[in-house]
Order: sequence, then C-alpha cells, then structure tokens
Amino acid sequence: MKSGSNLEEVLEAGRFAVTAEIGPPMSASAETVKEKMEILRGCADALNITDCQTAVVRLSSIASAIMLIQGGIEPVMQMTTRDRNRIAIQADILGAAAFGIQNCLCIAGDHQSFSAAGKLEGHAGATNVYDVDSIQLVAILKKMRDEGLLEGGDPLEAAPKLFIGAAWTPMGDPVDFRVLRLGKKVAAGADFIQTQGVYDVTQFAEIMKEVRNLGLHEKTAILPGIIVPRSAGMLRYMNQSVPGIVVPEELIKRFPVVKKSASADEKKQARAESAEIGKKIAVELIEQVREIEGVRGVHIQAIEWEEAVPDIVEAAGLLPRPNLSADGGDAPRSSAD
Amino acid sequence: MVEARLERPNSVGLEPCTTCSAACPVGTDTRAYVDLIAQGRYEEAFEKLREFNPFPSVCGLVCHHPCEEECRRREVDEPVALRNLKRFAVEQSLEYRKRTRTKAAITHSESIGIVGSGPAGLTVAYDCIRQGYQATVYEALPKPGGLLAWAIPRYRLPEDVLADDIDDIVASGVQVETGVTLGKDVSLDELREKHDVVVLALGLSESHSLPLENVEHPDVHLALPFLRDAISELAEVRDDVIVIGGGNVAVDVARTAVRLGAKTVKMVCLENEEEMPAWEWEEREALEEGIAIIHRRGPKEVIVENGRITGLLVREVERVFDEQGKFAPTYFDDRLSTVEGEMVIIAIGQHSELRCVEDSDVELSDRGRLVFDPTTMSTSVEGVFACGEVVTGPGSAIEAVASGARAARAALGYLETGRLAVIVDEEVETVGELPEEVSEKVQRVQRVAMPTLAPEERKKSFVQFELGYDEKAALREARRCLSCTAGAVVDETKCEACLTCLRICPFDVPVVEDAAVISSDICQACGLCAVECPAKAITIKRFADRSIVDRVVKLMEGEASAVKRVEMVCAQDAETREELRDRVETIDGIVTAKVPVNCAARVEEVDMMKPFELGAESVVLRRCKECRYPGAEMRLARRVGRTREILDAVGVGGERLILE
Amino acid sequence: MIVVEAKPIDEVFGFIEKYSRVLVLGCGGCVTVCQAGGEKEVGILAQALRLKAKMGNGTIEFLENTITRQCDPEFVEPLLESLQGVDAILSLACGVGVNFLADRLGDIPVFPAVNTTFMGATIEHGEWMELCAGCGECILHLTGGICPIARCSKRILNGPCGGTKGEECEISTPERPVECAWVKIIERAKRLGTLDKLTEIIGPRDWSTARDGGPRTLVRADLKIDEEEAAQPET
Repeated sequence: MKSGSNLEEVLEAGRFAVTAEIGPPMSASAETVKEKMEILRGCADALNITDCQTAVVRLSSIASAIMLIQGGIEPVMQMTTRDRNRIAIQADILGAAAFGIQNCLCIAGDHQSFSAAGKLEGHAGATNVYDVDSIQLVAILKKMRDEGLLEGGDPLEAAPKLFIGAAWTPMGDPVDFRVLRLGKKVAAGADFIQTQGVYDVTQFAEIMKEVRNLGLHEKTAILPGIIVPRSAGMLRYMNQSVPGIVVPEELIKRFPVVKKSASADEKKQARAESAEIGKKIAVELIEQVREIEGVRGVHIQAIEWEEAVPDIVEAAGLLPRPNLSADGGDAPRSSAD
Repeated sequence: MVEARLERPNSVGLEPCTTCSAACPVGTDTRAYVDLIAQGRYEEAFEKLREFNPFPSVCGLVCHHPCEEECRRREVDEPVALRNLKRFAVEQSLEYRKRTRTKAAITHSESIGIVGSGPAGLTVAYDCIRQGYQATVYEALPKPGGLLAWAIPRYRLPEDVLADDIDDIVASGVQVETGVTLGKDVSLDELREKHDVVVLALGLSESHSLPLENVEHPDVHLALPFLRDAISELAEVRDDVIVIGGGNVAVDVARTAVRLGAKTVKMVCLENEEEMPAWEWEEREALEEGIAIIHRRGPKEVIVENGRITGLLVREVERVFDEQGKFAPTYFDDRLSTVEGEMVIIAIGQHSELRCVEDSDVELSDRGRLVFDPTTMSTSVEGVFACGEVVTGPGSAIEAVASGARAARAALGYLETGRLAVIVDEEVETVGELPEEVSEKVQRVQRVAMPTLAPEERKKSFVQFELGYDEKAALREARRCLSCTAGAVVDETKCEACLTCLRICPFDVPVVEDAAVISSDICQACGLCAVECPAKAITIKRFADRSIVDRVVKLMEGEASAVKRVEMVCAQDAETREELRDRVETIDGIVTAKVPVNCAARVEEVDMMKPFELGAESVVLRRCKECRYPGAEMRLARRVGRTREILDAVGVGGERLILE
Repeated sequence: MIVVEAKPIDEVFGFIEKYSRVLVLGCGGCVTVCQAGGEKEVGILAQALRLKAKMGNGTIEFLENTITRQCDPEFVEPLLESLQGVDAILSLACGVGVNFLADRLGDIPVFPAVNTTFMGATIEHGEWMELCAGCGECILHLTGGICPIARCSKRILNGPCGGTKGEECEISTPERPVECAWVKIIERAKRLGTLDKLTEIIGPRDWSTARDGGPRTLVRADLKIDEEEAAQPET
C-alpha cells in the first residue's frame, strides 16, 4: 500500500471504484462544501474537489479537502500547476498530508484566460506559473513519497503518504499520441487515472485495446469520467467545444426537443424529463464501460447537480460502497453491492 | 597621337545605358526627353533633343529611328513612337526656340572652314561655334541643307521645318556662304590660308548613271537632279514613269513622280522584298500610293521607238549578293521582258564630286575616294578633316550629324593641341533584354498611330502627309515608355534587407541578399517600393526632383491659409499639360491645390497628413481609370485606411481624407 | 527578430505633450524590418503628433532622426552629443533601445513609442509569430526544433495537455488563432522518425537561466578588449 487511502484499498481489493466530484463555491463560507459533501456522502470511495477549475477563483481544493477529512469523507485533492511553483506545490502537499489527505490528482489546469468567460471578469491578466507540467508533478509526488526527497534533492523529515492520480483525455487531439502520453504518466508514477468524460464507448473501447497492448492497465487504475448530461444542448456544446469529448448522435437524440415558444409548464415538464433521461444515460455508460477490460472504476461528474449522483450510483448497482478503511465510514445506503 | 575619348552621354549618369540612347548615333538622352514630354515639360524636352543634335526638327520627321528598333517596349507590345514624340516636342517649342536664340561668344581667334552645308557640315560648324571658334560654311547651291534641302521631298520634310533648324544654327553665328563652289569659286589652298582648320563635308552629291543603250534620251533622268527640280517646282513627268532602283532615294523619286501627276509609276529593282534597301515604312507607303514594285529585274536597255521611250528592257536577276554578301548581281540573260513606260529615272545610288580637290594636296585612293583615317577624321593633309557621306558612304541624316560631331571633336582637339587625336568611342554597356517574367506583367497599351492623310489625298500634292500628334496622343504615347534605368536605387547603408520591396514589387524585380538589389535593367520605375520601404532606403531616379510633400508645401505656403483642399491626382489620364501642372484653383468656391502625381499609389501617409498641418480641411486622392501596376491600388487603399485611423486618433477626422 | 507594435497615438502624445522640443528617434534594426520603428514610421509618427499638437493649439517642435541601432554604444553616443535643446526623446526602438538610451541620458526623459512584444519570425508580409522565449537553455533538440516554452500556452514539456482542439490550443479563438505546439512537435517527430523519444519524460527544468533567475548578462571574456593587453600582447 502506497498511501493507505480508501480509494487505494478499494482498488487493491479488486473492487470497482467510484469517485464523484464537488465544485467549491466562489465564497469564503464553508456552507456549500458541507452541503455538497452531505449529498454525496456514501456514494463514492473518494470525492474530488476541483482546484480553481477554468482558472476561476474558488475556495481552494486543499481547504475543501480538509473540510471533507474533518467530516469523515475521503477527498481527492486536485492540484494544478498553473497557479503554483514547485515550492508552493510541495509545501501544500506536505500540509495536505499532515491533515491526512492522501489522494492527489495532478493536472496542468486550464489557461487563466478561461476565467474571463460568460459573466465573469476572472483574472485573465494573471501570470501563469507552469513551473512544472502535470507529468513532472506526478514524478515530484512520487519522489516525495517513495524517496522522501524534495524535487531539489533535500530530504524530508517525514515522507507523505500519497495515492497519486493523473488525468487522461483519451479522445483528445492528436488521438494517436494519447495512449503514448498515458504511458508517460504511468512511467512517472501515476497510480490512478481519471479521464475526460466518455460518451462514445465504442471508440473508448478501441483505445483501451491499445492501452492493454502496452500493459498500462495493470500499472495504473483507469477510471473513465462519466459526465451526467442534462440536455441535448449540453451534449451538443460539449461535443463541439470541449476538447476530447465525443458524443454520438444517438445520445443527443434521446433528449426531448423543447420549442422556445413552449409554455413555462411545458418547459418545466421537459426539464424533468431530461433529468431522468440524463441519469439513465449515465447509468448505461457506467454499465458499458464496466465491461471493458482495464476499467477499474468510474469518476462521476454531475456539474452543479450533485443530487443526481446518489440515484445514479444506486441504479447502477454500485451501492453500498465498500467499507474497507480502518478509519470507517458511514452506514451503507443499501444492502446490495 | 593622343587619345581623346568621345564621351557618350548615357541616360541618367549611371551605367548601364538605355538601349534607345545607345542606338542613337549621337547618343540622344531619349528616355529623358520622353519623360519630360510625359510631364508636360515640352520645351525642356526640346532642349534635351538638341543637346547633341542640331537638327531636331529634321530628325523628328525623317530620322530612321534606330532608337525605336532597340526600344525595349517592343518586348511588351510595340516600341514607343520616339520619332513622333520628338516631332511633337519640336512643334510645341517653336515660339520658345525663336525666343531663346542666342549668338555664341567667339573666344578664340582661330576659325574653321567647312565645305558643304548638309547635316554633317552644319553640325561641325554648330559644335565649333559653341566652343567659341568662328565657323564658316561654304555651299555650292543657292540654299543650305544639302540633301535635306535638295533631295528629301517636301511631303516628308517641309521647307519651313528645315528652316527652323538651319535658322537656329545661323543665329548662333555660323556664317553660311551660298553659291560658292570648291574648286571653282575658291580653292582648297585658299581655304587653308583663310582658316586654321578645314573640314570637307562634301556629301554624295552626284547620282550614279547606267551604261544603258539610249540613256542619253531626254526623258531619261537621274535621281538627284530630278528631285532638285521637283523641289524647285521645275519638274514634269510623263504619264507612265519607270524608276530604276530599290533604295530610299528611288522611293522618294517614285512618290514624287506620283505627286507630279504620273498615272503609273513602276519601280524596277534588283532585290526582292526582303533585300530591298529602302526603309520598310517607305516601301509600304509607296505601295499605298499605288506604286508598283517589280522585284528581281535588272535594266538592260531603254527602248526608244520613233523618238519616244516606250519601255525598259529588263533581265531576270539570278542573285544580288555573292557568298561573302558583297553586291555582285548575276542575271539570266535569256529571261528578258519589257516594262512599259515613257520616262525613266535612274536612282541606283550617289557618289561624291571630288574634282574640286584635284588641284590640292588631298590624296584620293585608287578608287577615287578621299584618303581618310576614320580614327582621326583626317585626310592625307594635316589640318584638313572630312566627315559625312563623302567618307562614310550612304547613311542617314542622324549618322551624318554623328559624323560631323566627330569631326568637330577632331578639329577642336587639333586646334587646342596642335596634334591629331584618335577619337575613341566610349564603350557603352546597355541594359539587357527584358525578361519575360517582367514583360508579361506590363500593361499592354496600343501604340498611338500617327494620323496620316489617306493615300488618295496624299497623291495630290506635296503637302506633309503625316499630321503629327496632338497633346492627348503625345502624352498617351509618352507614357508607354518603360523608364529603363530610371527606376529604384537602393542605399545599401540604410537597407535592412527587410524584404518589403521584394514582396510588393508588381514585377518581381528585387533580389535580397545582404541588401536589396533592384536591377536597373528590369525595374519598371513604378515607385511602390520606395513608398513602402520602412528604412526609406530607396529613391526612384525619375522622381528624384518631384517629392510630393515638397510640392504640396510649396503650393500651400505661397497661398498661406487660403488653400482649403489638396487634390493629388494621378497623372496617367492627363490629356493636356495644364493638367500636369502644380497649381491652385478655386473649384465650387473652395481654394484647391492640385498636385498631379505619377502614380497615385506613390502618395505616402506623410503626404496625406501634411496638408492638414498647413490648414487644409480635406485631402482628395484621385486614382486613374485603369492602374497599370498590379497591386498598387490595394496598397494605396491600405495606406489610406491607416492614415484615416491616425487622423481620427489625432482629432482631425478620417473622413476628411477621401479616396476616389 | 524582436517584433514590436506601435502604441496608440493618444498614449504616445500623452507622454510628450508637456515638452517643447521632442526628438522622434527611430532604429534601423528589427523595428525597421517589422515596419514599426524605421525612418518611414518616424516620419509618420512625427507628422501625426504635429497634427495632434496643432489640433490642441500646442506648439511642439518634433525633430526626426533614425540611427542604425539603439543598442550599441557607438551608434548612440554621437546622438547624445548632439541633443541641444531637445527636452524629451520618443524612441521607436524596442524596449532594449529605450533602456539603453535611458541609462545614458542624464536628465532628458525617454519614452517608448512602441510596445515590444516578442521574439519572432515573419509568417508572411504583415504577420509575425512568437517562436522563442529566451529561456537561456535551449531544448529544441528534444522537440524537433519546435519550442514548447515559447509556443505552448502552458509551456508544458511533456505535452500535449487535454485541451487540444484539432490542431489548436485551448485558448485559440477565431480572432486570435493559436496552434497547439505539441501537435506540431508530434507531427515533426513522426516525420523525423523520433516519436519514441517523445515518450521519454523531460524532468522539471531549471528556470534560473531564464528571466526567473534575474536580469541576465552575458560576458565573453575572449572578446573583451583589454586596453593593457592590447598594448602588450601575449608573447
């Protein structure tokens, strides 16, 4: 065991892992995090907390992770290289580990220019740090954990226990290089992988073949991302504008088309209908990816819709979550696994 | 012996020389006079013409224009009509030349005596008097001019036109004594007594005859006397005239006979069409006038019956030139035929009359020609020089002028040093051929035809049949000139090899290595590179004295704050010289400064902004109808767009800059 | 070359409006080549400023000059000796030139007329692209000559990130298209047959050779002209 985290234990035990995600608020109040935490309690083996996603300032991932630890829920802390240099990163890792945070997802992070989108002013004029990239970050964490050394070579008095995660966009351009890059992350020391949202399971399955050819599935635990769709519009937007997300037309067609001229009631009805369809699709996707050899779990993202996750996890037969950690957890939601 | 370099002017004071100028026997700065005409500066063009040629009026009508044969425009469409433009400049300057006649100052005591007042002799006189030496010309005939006055028909060279040139020469102080024959009225020894140097410019004043049976018949004439009589209005012709000969004089004789009323005129010559020595245009015009040309026949006998000529017996020519290209005709003596006619005029060539020097020390060769050294222009007697057709053989008027200029150089050198000098012609390097990649991009513009009288009209009289260009035609034709060698010059100390000129040149001329190299051989002098160069490293030779902003400042300062609008108008469409002048006019109540520019795409941002600084309220750029430079309009539009933005930013308002 | 862009005229005028004799100084180096600071642009800027001054009823005299470069002492010193009456300099050189002048100008202020943007090359006439970040330790041998530090928005050394769209960077917009440098690097590696090299991890780099390490100087001892040594050369 590298870290002893619940997530690691579940994967070590050969169980199908589930992670879900919390997006912290643009607020100094702990309320929202605590609310979301409660909604998701028991639904997953660990909960990711995003780190200034799209470079928008939010309550930090490390602080939110501490709240989760204090609330008895295992977090997956996220760390971008956009905002911190290697000095701050390593200091934060030491701090997080001192609070018992063990899972850390290493990502480069969206460019700061994205923070000024929609109604937000953001901070497009901030410097971007990118002192190290995500792969170098994985290696730094590994060096701290396994060698007890900082990146510069100085020894740590106590090494952190870490379960190191990395992100993967299997269907991003250029597609033919993505598996090779996954190999680099694995070589750097990634213990688990959470991917960008998968909708085209067939294409993903093809890509997993290559992954298996390189034996990467045995060296790291791959958890495909399941983004719960809410409408045809959302799927269309993601298909067109989000890098690495490919949505088959059949999925989009399953949503009702709502005319602009429809009444308020009709619209309300359609929204409710779409919600159900979305959750159903999420469940199907989970079942489909589960069939693929090398997939060791799923990472469920319901953006600003955390309430949907318990239903999905239940319908997918993933409850209760295993209680393997000696630290204990909450009572299971249902008796089936 | 000393060497004296006969300097040849080249077009703009730098190597290489334009092909037109190099082809001109006297090195006229052709490109320069054409450019001056295009700018509406006709009198200055005229001055350029007579810089090296005292016969601009004559040449504007009769020159065989070797310049046009070498004009590089022929690689695009047709050569520029350089002779017609020359004539135009002369015709526009008639008042000017009369007004500016000046007598030359005599600064030396020595004098030159010249025998013969043809173009060669008069050129010697004119060149010498301008150097301060008194020159006297002795002419046997009653009027000066040589063949110009006595052989070239009036339909080609009117009397008053020749007089314009001769009057200028005489006004400079050259003394012309007519009715004086060398060997009869004065001897060579007497001339050598009287003058420090003598120049023989005797010309080819006698027509050849032929040893034909019945050649003494009164209706058999020789060319030169016939032409002289025609000019003196003493000539008469029969209805059916035969002219023997295929050269220019023969054609002159034939066309003269037509105008004197002959019903048929037939030329009989040894040569076929290609070999025929007359200028191609003379042959064409003769055919238009109904003259028949019988090729490949040699005269054998004048047929006389009952005392009247009925025809000419001719034999078929086998060949005219031998293997070495020498004139050695052979015939088929068994192939005889008769050409019908009542009058025969023999026009087969001229020879000089040299009996006049028999009693002197001047030696003649075995063949009866002057012993002459063309490198020193000297006869066998020191101090006696010769020039013109008497030593060069048959040639054109301008070649005679060139010969005269050489002789003047020789005579003056002798007078200054007491020694003969070898006259060395400067080796001239000309621009090369225009590469196809460039010539294919040049806008095609048809050559402006010279308006002429219809052949039927022409035949009726000796009136000048080529009517001359009007301003519109002349400006249009002058603008066809490619301005060879007058294009871009790169200052290598400023050039940063930024490649801008290479990218925007419409003709792909610049090559950039350490610095831009813009070959004067192929640059079309459009001026775009100079405007776009960010280092201001390029100047255009032909625009060197025409800075647009300086001209605007000049117009506006003179009028102080009165000028409210400045118009920069492309000169390409101008039809009068008035349109080409920098001027201030009031249009619709607005005092407007008008600056013609060549081309509108040469107007820079600073040119567009300066008027506002001086108080203008609007600036108008007016393009021509069809820009001849690919891409120029686009670049101008971009520049205008940028300047408008600047004018907005500084509070003047971009809408005040108008592009039409 | 160093690529610069003209500052807005209003801004530039604001720098010098209170002076009376301003030298508009161009540079014959990079800024001439990128059409922003050579003799031609000096003329245009000076004329625009004259107009603006006139519109404000001011009387500022604008002198114009362009020197070969503003980053070598031999070109700048003669200029400095002939600044009679000039009370401000507006330099169209890149930031290097402005600094170089400022270090030598005593009490005459110097203002920048252009924004210095990047080190780049010409794509076509009128378009330039950043290609080098001046990081001080070139790694182009690892990426087939295409620089991830200059041309990847996140200067990722083990790219690409997950944001690539087609061949474009995640920040690319129609108004400002940006290529994904890593797509190019991978393409190039394929063509050169070096794709397997890209699977090797490039570790965290030492940024101290870049600007992060502080303002840099470079000394070539072998080039320096030592007066004493020149007088008595090594035997």
